[in-house]
Amino acid sequence: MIILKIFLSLIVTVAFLILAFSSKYVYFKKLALFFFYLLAIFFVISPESADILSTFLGIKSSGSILILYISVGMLFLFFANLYMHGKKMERKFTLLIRELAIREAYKTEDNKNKKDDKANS
Amino acid sequence: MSKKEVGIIIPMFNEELVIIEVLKKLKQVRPNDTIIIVDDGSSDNSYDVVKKQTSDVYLLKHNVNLGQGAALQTGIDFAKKLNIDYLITFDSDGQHSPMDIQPFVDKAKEGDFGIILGSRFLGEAVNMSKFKHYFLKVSTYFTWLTSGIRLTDSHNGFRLINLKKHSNFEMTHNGMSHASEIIDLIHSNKMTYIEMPCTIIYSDYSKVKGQSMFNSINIVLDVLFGKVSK
Repeated sequence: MIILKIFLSLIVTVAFLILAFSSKYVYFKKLALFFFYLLAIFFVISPESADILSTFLGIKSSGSILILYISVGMLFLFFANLYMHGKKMERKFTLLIRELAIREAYKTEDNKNKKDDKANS
Repeated sequence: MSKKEVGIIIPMFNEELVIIEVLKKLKQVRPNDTIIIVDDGSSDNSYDVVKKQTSDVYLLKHNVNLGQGAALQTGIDFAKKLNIDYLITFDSDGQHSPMDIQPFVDKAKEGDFGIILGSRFLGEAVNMSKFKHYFLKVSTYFTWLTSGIRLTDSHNGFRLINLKKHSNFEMTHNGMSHASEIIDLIHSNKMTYIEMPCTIIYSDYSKVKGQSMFNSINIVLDVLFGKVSK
């Protein structure tokens, strides 16, 4: 049983990492969110099915605990997605600032030349 | 435009008190090199001080503060435009010694190395605390673990990058974790590397300005997140 548990948690971890941190599989991500949305509605309509499912999965208390577990997982996924999104935005922002900095590069000698030009004219 | 062989990048963030002194010393020793200063959105007068009080220095400015890694990469991109062959990264707080530059350049020419990393443990670390010594030793083991490259010193700002050989050199980490990223780049770009002694002078000023050791937590997380998100 313990081996099965480790195996399952490994699968969940790998799936989570792929969904959360990879820029690919955007459709899977959306599909997963949609699936959980449907699941949430389903549990609202028939709460007792959550109880049945949780007994099947071996969670000893009520089905609401199962829903809690799923929500925590989803929240993590949301957070990781947001984090990655922030990283991507930061990258784009950096490239923009860099481009601007290089365009407006300034050679301090120019300063003197300009002054000399003025003095000459 | 006359082509200059050696370029020196100085990322600068709020250094109005010392930057002129650092530049003066640098110019005395290296009058023929191209100096590129990247102001990383300083909130003090660093930019104006450099603009008014120096000559023959390229001055670039990030409009907002992005981090040392970003400032270095901006300097590298600019150096590529100037066709610079050998690029030295130099700190703006006076920690590094301009005397170290020539041996690095000579070595790079002689051995055609892709990158030369400065090491304070091979060279001289003036006024370094015991604790910092051991702390940096541990960080080299972390680097070894994550990149497979074993060095004597990992987060040292003094290096030479051979742009002639590696014109595609690009860092993406904006913060202080760029030092670890460089070591990853050595691995992924198959750069030939060597470590050389360099002097680091810990003055009271640089001790205050330098990064706190707590920032290493940030660096470790950035490195690990960077690895998963590729």
